[in-house]
Amino acid sequence: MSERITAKTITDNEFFYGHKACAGCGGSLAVRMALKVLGERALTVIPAGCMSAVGFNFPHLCFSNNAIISTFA
Amino acid sequence: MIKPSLKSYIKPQKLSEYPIGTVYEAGHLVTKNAGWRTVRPVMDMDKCSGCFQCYMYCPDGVIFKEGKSVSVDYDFCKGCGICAKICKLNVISMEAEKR
Amino acid sequence: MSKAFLSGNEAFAEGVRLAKPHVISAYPITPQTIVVERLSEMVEDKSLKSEFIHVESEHSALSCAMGASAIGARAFTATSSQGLLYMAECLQYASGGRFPIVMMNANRSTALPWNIYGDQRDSISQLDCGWIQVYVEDAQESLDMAIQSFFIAEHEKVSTPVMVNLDGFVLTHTYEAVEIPSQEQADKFLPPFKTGNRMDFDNPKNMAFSAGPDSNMEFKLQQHKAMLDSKSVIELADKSFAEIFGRSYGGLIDTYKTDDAEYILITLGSITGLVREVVDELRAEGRKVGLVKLRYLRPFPDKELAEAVKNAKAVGTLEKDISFGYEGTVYTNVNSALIKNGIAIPSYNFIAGLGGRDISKKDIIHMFEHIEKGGEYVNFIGLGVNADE
Repeated sequence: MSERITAKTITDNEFFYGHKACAGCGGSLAVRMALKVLGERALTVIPAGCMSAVGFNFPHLCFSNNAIISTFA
Repeated sequence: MIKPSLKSYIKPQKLSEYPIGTVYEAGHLVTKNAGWRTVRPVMDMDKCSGCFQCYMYCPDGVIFKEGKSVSVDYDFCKGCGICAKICKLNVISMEAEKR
Repeated sequence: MSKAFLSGNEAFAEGVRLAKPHVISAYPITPQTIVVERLSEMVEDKSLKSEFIHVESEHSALSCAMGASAIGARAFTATSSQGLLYMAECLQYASGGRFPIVMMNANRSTALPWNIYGDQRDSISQLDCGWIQVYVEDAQESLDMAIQSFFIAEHEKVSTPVMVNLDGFVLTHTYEAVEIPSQEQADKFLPPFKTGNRMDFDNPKNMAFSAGPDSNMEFKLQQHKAMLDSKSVIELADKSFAEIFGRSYGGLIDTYKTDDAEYILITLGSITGLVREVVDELRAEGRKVGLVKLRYLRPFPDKELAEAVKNAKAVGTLEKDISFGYEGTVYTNVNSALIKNGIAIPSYNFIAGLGGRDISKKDIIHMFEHIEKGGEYVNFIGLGVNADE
């Protein structure tokens, strides 16, 4: 990456949106930011936990890139 | 802009309309989060300097850049108030949601 | 096409090589180790172009195979008893997610007590997991089923993972003359793996999601129906295989001299070979006996089984499995099939070979006598002690 990504230059794409996490959830902010940096060709694997429970309930699916929930253990 | 969007979803009436094996199109939203709010962020755009910190800190990503200033997608804002807390110029105030 | 002297494990590895999986992820466990060793050698000397992933456990092996399947790669893994139970969570994940993975399971007894020898308790305890389960009799069938299983699993009507079961040591480590088909024949039979259920950069997908009470039952019904539909695909695979390779195994079940048989023994796995010999010996003495080999336990061939035994006077089920506190699970399935098809004949259960104990010709002759004369429903055969003391 040749130029620093700042608040002004970061992509407008939202990859984690419309999820049912608690209002103000720090974890969902982390996922949102990480995916903005990784971009649309990222394949997301979500471990069993909050992020999979809030964003992946058929038919309400909140990831706009390829994503899969992994096995538990 | 790539973003999961609200789709008009009708519950499948036939078994063949269900997806095979838990695979479905990405970014398919069917309900809004607007009903979660008790307060909503209101922006006084004259004071805004375009630093975009509220945009960065929103956990739901509902603040969108509009040129030099921002706008809020009230369909999905949960009213957590982080944007109001982070803004150094007091552009955003949390006002009670009118029912 | 060539002939070789191979063990069951090695023959299966040859079959997998012909099926050309993209990803092989496996963790070694006796008696399955030879399969993955051979496959790793084939990847090393480039006779098989495949991604061989060394994983740290069986749970990771199947999760890795699912990850590969999620992007549209053909995946293979192998395991046995404790490994199968370790990946038990992933078994249901794979079948619910409809990933067409093929897994070879070397049937081995489950602890405790520890035992490395063969019986069928591991896979039969996982009958409900949603995988298609096939039990093979000899090394040639192992090789052939390695290729056929991918055809069945990846068929669009099925899209369900397949578990191929080989009896531990008795089949996996016994050497037999095997015919290895050519790559051209295998390519003619097995098309490349294509599916829409995979991650795609043009049409991103969300996979392995949760479904609440409002939609979950429909997903499960869909899975159940797919497995019932697989019966026709299994018959199609057997026919298609016979046309190209010249060998047929009978589809869901195989029968031997059942047309006029009065007493029929139902078996599965490698013991079938010995029962065939006993049937021939007893027939030579004038006794009208027959054999039904259950090839598939899931989907259970209830109609085919009923058709084969409908004129018999009595049947017995020989299995290397016991559901503690009741009876052998294959026996439960067989009885359900008989009742639902209106066949009210005496049915007996023979539990033998647990922990790798040998089943002899004398034991099998004794079983046929028991079927003829009647007696206890559930029988443990070949015990070294008097069961009542």
